[in-house]
Amino acid sequence: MDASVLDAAIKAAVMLSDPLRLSFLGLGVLIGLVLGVIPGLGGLVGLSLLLPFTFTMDPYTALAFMMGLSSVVVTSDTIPAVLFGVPGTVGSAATILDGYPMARKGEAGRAFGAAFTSSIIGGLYGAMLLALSVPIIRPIILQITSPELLAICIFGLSLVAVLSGSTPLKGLAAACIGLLVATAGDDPQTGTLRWTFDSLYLYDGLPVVPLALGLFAVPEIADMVITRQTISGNADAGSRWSQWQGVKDVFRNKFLVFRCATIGTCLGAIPGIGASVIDWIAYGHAVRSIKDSGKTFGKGDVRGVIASESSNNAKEGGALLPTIAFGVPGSASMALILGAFLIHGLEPGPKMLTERLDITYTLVWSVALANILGGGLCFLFANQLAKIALVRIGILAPVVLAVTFIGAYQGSNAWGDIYALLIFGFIGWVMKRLRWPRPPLILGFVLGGLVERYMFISVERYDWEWLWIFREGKFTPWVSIIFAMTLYGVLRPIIKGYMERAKSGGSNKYSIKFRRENLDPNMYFSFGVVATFATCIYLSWGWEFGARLVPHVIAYAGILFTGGLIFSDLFVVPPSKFAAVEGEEGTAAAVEEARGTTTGDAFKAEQEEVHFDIQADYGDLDVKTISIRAARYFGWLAAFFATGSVIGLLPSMFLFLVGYMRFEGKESWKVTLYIAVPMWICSYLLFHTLLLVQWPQTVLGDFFPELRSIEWANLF
Amino acid sequence: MIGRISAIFVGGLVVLLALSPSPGASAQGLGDFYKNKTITIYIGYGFGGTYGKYSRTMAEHLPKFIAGNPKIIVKSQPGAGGIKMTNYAYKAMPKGGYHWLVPPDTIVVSEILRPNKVKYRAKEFTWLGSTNQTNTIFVLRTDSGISKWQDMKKTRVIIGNTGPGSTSFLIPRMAKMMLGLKIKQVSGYKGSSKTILAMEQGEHQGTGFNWLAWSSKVPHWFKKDKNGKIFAKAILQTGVWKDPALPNVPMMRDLVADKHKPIIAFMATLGIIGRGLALPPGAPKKIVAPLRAAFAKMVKDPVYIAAAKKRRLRVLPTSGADIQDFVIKAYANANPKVVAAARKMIFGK
Repeated sequence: MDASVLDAAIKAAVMLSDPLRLSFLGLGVLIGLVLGVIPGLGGLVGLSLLLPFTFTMDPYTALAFMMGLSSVVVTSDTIPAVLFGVPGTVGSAATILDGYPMARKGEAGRAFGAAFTSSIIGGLYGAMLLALSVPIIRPIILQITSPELLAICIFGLSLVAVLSGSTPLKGLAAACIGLLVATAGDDPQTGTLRWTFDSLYLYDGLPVVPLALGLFAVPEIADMVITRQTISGNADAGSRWSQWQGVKDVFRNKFLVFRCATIGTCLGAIPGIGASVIDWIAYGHAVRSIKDSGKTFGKGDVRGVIASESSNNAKEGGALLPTIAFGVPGSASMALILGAFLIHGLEPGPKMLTERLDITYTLVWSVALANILGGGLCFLFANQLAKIALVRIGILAPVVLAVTFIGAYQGSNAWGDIYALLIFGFIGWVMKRLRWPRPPLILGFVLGGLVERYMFISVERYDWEWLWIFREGKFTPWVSIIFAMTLYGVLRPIIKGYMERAKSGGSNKYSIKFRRENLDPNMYFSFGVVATFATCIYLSWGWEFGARLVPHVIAYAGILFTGGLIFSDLFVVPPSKFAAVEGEEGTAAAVEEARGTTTGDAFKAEQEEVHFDIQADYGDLDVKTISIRAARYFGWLAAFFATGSVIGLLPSMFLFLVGYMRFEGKESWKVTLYIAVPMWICSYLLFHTLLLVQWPQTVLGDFFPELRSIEWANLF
Repeated sequence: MIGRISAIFVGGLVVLLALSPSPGASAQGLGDFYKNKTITIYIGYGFGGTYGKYSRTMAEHLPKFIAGNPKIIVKSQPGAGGIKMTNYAYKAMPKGGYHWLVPPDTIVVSEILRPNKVKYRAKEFTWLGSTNQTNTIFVLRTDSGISKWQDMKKTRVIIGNTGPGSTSFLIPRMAKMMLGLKIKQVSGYKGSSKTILAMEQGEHQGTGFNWLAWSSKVPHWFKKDKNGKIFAKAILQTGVWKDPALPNVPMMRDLVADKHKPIIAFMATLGIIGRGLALPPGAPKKIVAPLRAAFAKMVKDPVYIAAAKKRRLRVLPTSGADIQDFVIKAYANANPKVVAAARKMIFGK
């Protein structure tokens, strides 16, 4: 680092230490923390709202304010993820997998301790990498063209193999569902409208917010409601001591933190990868690199939380790099920060790395300070927040659900968001029940569009040369290196597993036998998935070749994987147990007995012991009770939706809160109204008055259009 | 006598009429229509882009030119390149005069070229005016060997775009087909920033965006570097009037054969619609003239111009009446034969 860089860094630190600037940074942090907690809201909403207020500030103050806000949203989004299994932003979806089981085990405090510490360290590390890479970043980003982006996305997709645990066919089929959903919308190659069903909602593709909330939030709340238990029975859930445990966990796993923070910063710096991918790649990396992760991950292993949280805070530092160096926003929030740059007369580009280094380092310091402040504040309130885990389910479920509904609507301010929430909510619940891993689906979804986009650009631009180490005479090794890493990651465990089985004397031979007892709901779901893929092929038959190529490849692959799953469940008896028993006992009776158990639940338990997803635990509840309670739960959701379409989403929220708490939760009128009224007023003020949300059209509004002309009553 | 009285009466009427404020010329014609009222402006994009910036700047400055000084707020309803909001504005937006829209500049082009996706009729909106002209400017890297559009007749260039409905696709495509240029198009970049980055990376050599996008994102490309070289150059433009910042860049309509001119005419509406305001169909007719007058005053106001400049926005105004004229003319020119020819040329079907 030469003297001018150091000078600029010091000058920026001095500028930022002004009490007024620090106050604005603090205010930004506070707003960011609040937005992170509310599902569906995030840095983008906050920055859109506050951008005009920054016009009158000096550039240092404005940038400190905005960076303060955007840096900490991914710190506080952990809170709903851990407490309810509801991602505060899409960047924390992977945190749920271990954070929520920890809360259920009474370890919410420990999860918070670990999450906030990893967030702070991840954020600081991201800022540090940002500071160090400023002088050299331009040539690096210029090397990462569409083929490199494609290779990175395929690497991300290869993690499906890891996240599928010991049910690879289910994982691959789930990923195909996600990939297929991602192809919806206006095809960038041919302009064909794919799966839009004559509605504009899916024109730009399905937004990730209602999908993520549907897949994770709705099923988790469903299971809370079905079991009728508080999240945790442990009153000690959020004590300072348990938080300290979490802090110690982070320091015990410091190398994991640094690895995941590096992943976060590097992927954050690449425009076109996106926040929703990064936490999953970090989580997948942790699963792959930690020995015996299969036994504990997805069941409340603190290292899962650490991996996800250190990466998502680090990415903010990374996302600043292309914004500063090229004027290309690394994330949606960065687009607004870029807007602030221009308003304050700052030109992104080479000058930011030379003449205006002071501004660049103001950003670096702001990210660092905001992370410390944001993490600190979260620690301060964590023990109080963790007590939410003790709240009765009759109160908690409607409150969290109502916020989830309104949050999902922020996806694109359309009824389609609510449809998507409900559809994926139901699919997510069924998948959870039937032990289909959900992470591959969301990973397939967030990467699907990118893979298709970059594949077409790469092939169209370079033909097959995009795969080669020389492109138009230039040495371009990155694609080959990334593909080599991908292949190593995918093939190593397969070869290792085969060798281990062979070494331990186990047989690699499978036997074939029809297993009628496996014709269960799991099998019917598989049939449904095959039918869905087949329908997709049928519906897309008439599209132009360029538009149907990728959906068809995915759907055929999906049929292959699900067909394989059906075949193996119905006909194949796996070798391990059968062979082991054969070897040990050597009697025909014992072998027969082992065959018997492998066809039933015992086999399934063994076969699926590695499952990177939250598992449903209904205790002693019988199937009938579970079904009735689930039907009532989804009935309430449908009622919320139906009344919403008649009287408006926000008025319907009030009815839902009151109705659910009073009649389903059996709370007294007093408790019901004490919670429902203030909660509704806060929602009205936040969403209607402050965020100026455009509410969906309703029957009431169509009958009385004049209501739409009255600003305070324009809810219909 | 009666004749004299009549003459005095008529004369008095003329004087009275002359003295009375003309509702068509002044914002005062609105009376109390907007007093203590809130106007909501809808944009079809997020707040991060120029639609957001222009609409918020107008929302701050326009109230002082409207009688009653109403409050103006801006709501965003992004999706489908602005079509979602425009469909809403056409079908369901309250028609009382308190709800306006910033029409997407592609409003006419989308309706004519992709009719199955739109549920509006652009000519039924009432334009109040536009504050910026958004001609599409075709820019190429100088190391592509192209310094004027004719060079592309001999030298093949690779051009990036964001998708088949976008201006970055349409304008180079038309240039290729109408002027016989050797252009290979690469589709699918996500947004203008990433298309421009790919151009800097050398993945493609040029594309078409409005001048505001070019001049705000990569102004240094058009200035000489320390070696005295410039990185990129504007080669062609499409619009109704030339962009004042680019007087030497030829207009496509001056270069194409007569048979292509009707197609160019409706594509040119992109430029003149730019970033402005419109009322939904069915809004009260009496408010149109005073609002157009208020808009015209705002775009001349030095305070507004300074505020726009501070936000890195240009003010190149067009009156509401002019836009309305051009939109109507574009439809008149776009008979089914012309549209079919345009679709075949652009989409190949």
